[in-house]
Parts: sequence; structure tokens; C-alpha cells
Amino acid sequence: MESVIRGLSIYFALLVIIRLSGRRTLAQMTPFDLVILLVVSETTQQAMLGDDFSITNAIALILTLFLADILLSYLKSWSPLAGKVIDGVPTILIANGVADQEALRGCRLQMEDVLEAARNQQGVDSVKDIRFAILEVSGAISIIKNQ
Amino acid sequence: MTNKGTGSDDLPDGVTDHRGFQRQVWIVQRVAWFVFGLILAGCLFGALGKGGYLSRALVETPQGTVDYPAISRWNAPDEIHVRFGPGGADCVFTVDAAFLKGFFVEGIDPPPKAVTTKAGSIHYQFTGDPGMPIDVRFRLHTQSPGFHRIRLGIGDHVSAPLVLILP
Repeated sequence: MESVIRGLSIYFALLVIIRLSGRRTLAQMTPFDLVILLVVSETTQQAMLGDDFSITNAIALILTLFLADILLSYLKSWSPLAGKVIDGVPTILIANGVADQEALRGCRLQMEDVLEAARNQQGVDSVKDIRFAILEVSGAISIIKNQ
Repeated sequence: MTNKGTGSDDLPDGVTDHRGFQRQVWIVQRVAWFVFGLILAGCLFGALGKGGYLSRALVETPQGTVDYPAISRWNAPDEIHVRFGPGGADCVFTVDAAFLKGFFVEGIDPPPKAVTTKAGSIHYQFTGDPGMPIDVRFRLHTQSPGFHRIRLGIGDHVSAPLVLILP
């Protein structure tokens, strides 16, 4: 029982903390973010397993995490609002060559981040040539250039 | 498809401008960051146990002091420091059975001369030193989370503080 409670507690705590920390964490994987990811994974492993390193405990924990993930995916498909709250929504950063400063600030993004994505994806070198720049739910920036 | 705030009515298929919802999320995120900061500040003050002003408490008696964890963490090591004042007589540190529900005693330095039980309490007896105070360290491991009303003290001077073991 303890491993199920531990697993669910850590799963939902991580979900809430990562969601509340903002999506920039996912969009910009710098070396520093990688360090955080490694430390967090090591810390959560200790908290989830406790002092029980048995195979039974590991299997119970893995099943708990997978089942929680499956249940959440059903919840998101049943309730669009739950999907928006849990995963977030796409954010339009640039529309028709005009940057939305409020959206950039809200997502903790710099214009340089968007322009970098524009150069990488579409070879676009000017904001005026961007029809849409969208911060996706995945954390990636999609660029659609003007025709 | 709603396009408030984008100045455009031709967003790509599958993309909707949830500007109102997004603003609410940003506000919630900023509030959450402030709460994260408060939690960390509380942690520095010992509200989450393991060091800091709030995590330790002191019981003072004429025979000495007991420094015990007021806030601790489940399944984690902790300590009680007992200081017996100078005196030739034997010194006795007393805890009750409820203490053992919350804490497992892993070791005692220096070891007691005798351990006895009487009326539901456990008495750890140490040899006194006429010229020097005696410091005793109880190495503990927390056992069950929650609030624990424990009785501890020196000799007949026993207090009953509330100890919190966080999950």
C-alpha cells in the first residue's frame, strides 16, 4: 500500500510543480535544465522507493505510475477543461508579423528564442516574415511563415 | 475558433486562442512561484524539519536540558541531545511508550548504565559527573508520520510536547 501512496504522491506533486513552473522549462533545455532534470529524477526515485528496493516494490510502483498516466489521459479526453488545466494550451507568440509581448512575458520567452526557432525551422530572418509563432503544448515553438 | 488578442482570424487548424484562460494560468503560476518561495523560506526556518529555528525545541529542567525535534520527517534520521548538569548522582532521562511509536532509538552515545521501565515510561540511567555536565546523544529514526504527543524529561520533570513528523 505504501508504495502506491508514495508513487501517486510524487507523481501528482511533480505534475503540479512542473505545470506551475511554466512551460519554458520544457521549451528551453539548457545544460542547467538537464542538471535539474537529473537531480529531480534521482530525488524522486529515493522518495518513491523509500528503503524498499525489492522487485515487488518496483513493479507496484511502475504499475501505479502507468495506471495514473492512463487514468489522466482518460480524464483529459472526457473533460476538455481538465486537458487544458493539465497540459496547457497553445500560446500564440507572433501573429501576422506582430509579437505579442504579453504572451512572451507570460511564457518567460525572449524574442530571440522565437527568432532562433524561426531560423532553424523555416530559414526566416525577420519577424515580419512570420505569420504565426506558436508555443505548443509540448513546449516546442512552431513557426508558420508568410506565403 | 476565437482569436481575441491575436489580431488575426485565420489561425492554423487545431489552434485556438485561449487568451483568457492563458492569462489566468500565468497569474496562477506567478502566485505559485511566490508560494514556492514561501515554502523554501519556511524550510530555512525549520518548518519542514531537519534543522532551523522551528524544527528543534528545548525542555529545561533543574537537572539539565533536553533538545528534541519538534518537527521531523518520516523515515529519516534525527537526534535528541540531553545535557545533564554537574552532579554526583545518577542522571535519568525519561520518555514514554508513545515516543517509541514515533521514533526508533538507533543508538545512544554514551551508552546508558541501565534502562528500566516503570509505569509505562522508559528510564535511561547515566552515571553523573560531579565536576562536568554530561552530554548524551540519542540517535533516532522516525517511524510514523503525524502528530505525536510524547512525554520526555529528566528525572521527575517531564513535559508532554507535541511533535510533528512530516510525511
